Amino acid sequence: MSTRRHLIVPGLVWAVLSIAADLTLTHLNLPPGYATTTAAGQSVTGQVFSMISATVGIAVVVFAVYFLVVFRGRPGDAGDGPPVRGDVRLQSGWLVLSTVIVLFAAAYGSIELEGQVTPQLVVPASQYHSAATRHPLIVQVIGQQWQWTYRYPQYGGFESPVIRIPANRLVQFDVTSLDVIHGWWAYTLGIKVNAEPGVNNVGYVYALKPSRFIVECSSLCGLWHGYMRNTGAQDGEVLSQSAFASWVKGAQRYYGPEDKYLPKFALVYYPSPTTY
Amino acid sequence: MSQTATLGGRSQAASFSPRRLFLSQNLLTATIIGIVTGLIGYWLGAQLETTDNGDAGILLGYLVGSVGFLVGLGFANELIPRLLGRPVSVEVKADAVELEAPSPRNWTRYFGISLDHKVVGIQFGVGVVFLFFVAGFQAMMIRTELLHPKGGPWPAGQYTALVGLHGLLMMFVATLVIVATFGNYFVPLMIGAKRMAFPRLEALAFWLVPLAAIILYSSIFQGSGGGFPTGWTGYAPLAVEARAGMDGYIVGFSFIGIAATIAGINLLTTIFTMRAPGMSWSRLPIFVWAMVAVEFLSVLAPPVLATTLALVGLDRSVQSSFFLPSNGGSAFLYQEMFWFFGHPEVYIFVIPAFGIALEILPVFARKPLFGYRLAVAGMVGVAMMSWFVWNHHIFESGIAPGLRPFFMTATEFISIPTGVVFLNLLGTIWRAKIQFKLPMLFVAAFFFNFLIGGLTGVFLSDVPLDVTLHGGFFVVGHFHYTIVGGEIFSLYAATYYWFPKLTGKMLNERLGKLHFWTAFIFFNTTFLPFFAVGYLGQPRRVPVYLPSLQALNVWISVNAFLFGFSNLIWLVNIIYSWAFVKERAPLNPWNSRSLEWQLPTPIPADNFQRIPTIVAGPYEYGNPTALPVAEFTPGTAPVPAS
Amino acid sequence: MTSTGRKLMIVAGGLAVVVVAAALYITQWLSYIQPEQAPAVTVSSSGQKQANLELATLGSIGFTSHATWVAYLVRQGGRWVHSTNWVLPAHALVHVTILQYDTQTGLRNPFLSQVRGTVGSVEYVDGHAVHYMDPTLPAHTFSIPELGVNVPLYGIPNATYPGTFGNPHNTHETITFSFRTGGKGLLHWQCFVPCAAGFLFGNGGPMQTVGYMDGYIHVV
Repeated sequence: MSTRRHLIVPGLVWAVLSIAADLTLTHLNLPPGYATTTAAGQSVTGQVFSMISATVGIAVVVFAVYFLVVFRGRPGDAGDGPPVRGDVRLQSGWLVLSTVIVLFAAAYGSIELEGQVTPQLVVPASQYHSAATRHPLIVQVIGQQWQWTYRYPQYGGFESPVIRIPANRLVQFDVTSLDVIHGWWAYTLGIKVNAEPGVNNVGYVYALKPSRFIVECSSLCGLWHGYMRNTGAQDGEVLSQSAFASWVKGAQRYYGPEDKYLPKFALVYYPSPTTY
Repeated sequence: MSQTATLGGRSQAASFSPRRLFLSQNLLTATIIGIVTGLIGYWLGAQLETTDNGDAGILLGYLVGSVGFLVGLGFANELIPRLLGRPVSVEVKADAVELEAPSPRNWTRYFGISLDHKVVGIQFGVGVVFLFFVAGFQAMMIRTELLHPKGGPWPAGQYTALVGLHGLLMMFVATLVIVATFGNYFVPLMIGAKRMAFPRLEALAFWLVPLAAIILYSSIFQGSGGGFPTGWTGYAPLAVEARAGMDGYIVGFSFIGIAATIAGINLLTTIFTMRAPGMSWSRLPIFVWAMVAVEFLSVLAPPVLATTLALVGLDRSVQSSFFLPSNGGSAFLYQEMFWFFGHPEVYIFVIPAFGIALEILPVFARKPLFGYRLAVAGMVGVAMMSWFVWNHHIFESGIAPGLRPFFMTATEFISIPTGVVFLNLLGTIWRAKIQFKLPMLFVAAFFFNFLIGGLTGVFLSDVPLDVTLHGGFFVVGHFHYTIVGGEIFSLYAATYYWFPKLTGKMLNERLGKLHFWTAFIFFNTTFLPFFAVGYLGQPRRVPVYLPSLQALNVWISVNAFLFGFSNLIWLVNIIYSWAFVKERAPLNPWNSRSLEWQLPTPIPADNFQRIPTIVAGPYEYGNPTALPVAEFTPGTAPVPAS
Repeated sequence: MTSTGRKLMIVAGGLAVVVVAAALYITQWLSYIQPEQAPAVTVSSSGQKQANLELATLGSIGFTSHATWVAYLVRQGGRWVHSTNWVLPAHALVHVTILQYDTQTGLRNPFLSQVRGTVGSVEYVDGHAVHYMDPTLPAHTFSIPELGVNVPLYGIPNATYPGTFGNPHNTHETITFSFRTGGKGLLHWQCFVPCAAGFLFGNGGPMQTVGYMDGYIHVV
């Protein structure tokens, strides 16, 4: 049984299986979907990482299973194997290869990350330098035990329990909390920003088309953490720009009377009572 | 003969002697003293109370009661006479060196303070595995809740408390089960030492564990809804706002951290200073190297936890505002401090698992460990790098933007030393003569599970992907694969491997095979769908989910019950083989070269009659000129392996 | 007895202890589940299902192990029952009457002092129609976030009474409103006024315990 055969057989199996896995993965639409640029980026990143993981994982499993099966001790053979303690070339090669893979993943991830947190890069390429990108729509997300409310400072600072954002416009979310740590998570928009008290946490989204989205709380915040969501009739919605404008007008009318009692718009709030 | 289990195990007549402060010191009297002092502490705290919630009383009650319990058990027997300037009796000093020979008649030594590291190892093993089953039972309760998308029998508050209790208790188990059980028992044997460096500290580390568990469980009787509402991570300010059960979390978790630190100090000192002559660093068994690597984490990380929890306790009881932004504190600070401990903590779980797997692998492959030095470098590298990655738990919490690429890269880099262990696997089984005994089966399963766990960790380290995956079931799947699939499977392997030396009996082969197949299959069928469910958006710690995910959740729950059942098979095997099987195991059933297998069973109280001289490494399989690993009597042949 | 027999006894005894402990543990958790209360359902002449829900909000409940906690009570069969889990018919018009005994506390988020989600977006406090109020005035709110229902409950001003039943000097307000239930399902409701004295932010204790300021609505 030559060394070459013991490497080529599992090598071929690995090649076939990983090519099949990678091809399948390129045709899958992974979550969270393509409703926004950030979600699309995450879906593609998911595919890339799945392909790398599948290739590496299948290699280890195929070789290990092959070796475990082929090199098992025959019954009655109580002897030892050859005293091989190491192989410098193999060890260095392994380290170099794993470093290369890791560097690729880190570089890819860093570039992708910059594209998701820098406002100018969240928008599609055609809009990198447009005026609209420099003046995004600002929505303040306020987390409290146990409901999300949203304030629109550019429209008079009214507050609303449902969220509507326009499509094809950069939206900036200023997320904060009035009490404990919550997590604002709009799954199909591909955004998750923790709501921390005393902190203004910023996230960006550029929605590509009208859709509905669910908002959930992703950080345990007390009794109704699991129910702290906008779903069903309270769904979030991405509206076309004209529908958004008319919604804003209706919301200003409906929620307007409360405006005089709301605190002045600020990035963080310290409501009282705090202590006992 | 009275039942007293005194320091050192020899009972004495009830006459006054300076060695003992009261008539008898055993578990029962210690418990009574603990309860009484606890009530005194509670009263004291109530005087300091500034709110209506009794937190100061509860915290002080737990702390003072624990001290009372430990004093009642006998930990202060030498301390108090010294503090008072009295002479310490000859018996106390003798106790420190003379240990009792093992025999079925002195089983009471397991219920007191024992200075024999082997007894402490068994105490840990039984105690921590008991907690494992309690926490596993709660996991079954959690999965019952998730059978239906609208939630199950437990209302929302109870469900979060259940999740928190399951998680925290499993953290207790994962921190200690390999290091404290097998580390304490076998490290001195593997390095040729007669005892450990600080036996009394080791006993203290053990007794903190039942205290921690009882304190934690008392939280279910306090306050409506019981338990604590924050999950095992205990985020402030919710932790400050929480009901009285949170105090049990604070004290219980701190005690386990302290126990881990103590065990770490003890193991490090033992390994550094008490190796037998000839036990050079390059002949050290890989399991002992794993202990070295893990103990640096274990000594340095839990004190951060204890400090953080103490600050939460102060916020709760005397209204300081470390974590309340409106009064000048920072909720974000808690996350940073907690995860600075929390990330090294999870490597405390995993590095011993590597040590076990790589220790057992050469014995059943009948080949030296491939890449021994690389394996050591890998484990030490993982330990050192684990201090630089903690922000990957809080990518979305508003950390400074420039830190995210740094921590992402650091986390991805830590997969390089972690991956080295797979090279060790492949190189060791290359051209081996693998014997598929039960320990080997579990080691193979360990590597498979850890591969999946490790690869999914890379997904989570990528920040854009983490935006979707954080806080959902993908994370839960990842850490269950690494901790349960990794550490618990290596626990199974270690049990099957060392049981003959620990108890003198072999674990039943048929039950063992049944346990292996049911555990491996049902573990994977349970936890693999977690990744799907998490990717599809189901958040964690939430009792309700989208109806479209019900089929997956029901599948997971049913398989989880089956996996739980497979653990019962393991338990039955242990009890049956230990107590009811009469046939003695051979002295060295696996033909291992390692030093602990060259000793008789049961191992004598002081391990070696004389310290042996180490003349060869433990992995010299297949080398026809290799000497046996140690010379027990200078110049004569050592005890042959059977 | 042989040693094997003795060991069997020990194992059996241990098993019995474990089973009993597990049973006690589960019973303890189950005891936190409250029974559900269902108000009477009528059908009006136009075929519209209607239900009447009568509640009371107290400054201190007066019984249970947390006698000083604020709480909601529901009227069932002519008696006041300590339960916050209610059963309502689907697609029905629910008429709610709340006897509000507690004093003014104020909201952490002033936005929640607007009446939303009820018929006419209005509540009637002692007969006066109210659409929104000053955020320092509510004692509690009755909110069902999933239905968009939010009703701040006007608090008793400058009260010197403990705000419970049975005190002849107590005053209360009668607050009425109506809302429509949707399809079947399990909803939750809660109060949004931080009315838990002694807890951080006023949001601990009764505010986070089903049976006091939170509960479930089972729409069938």
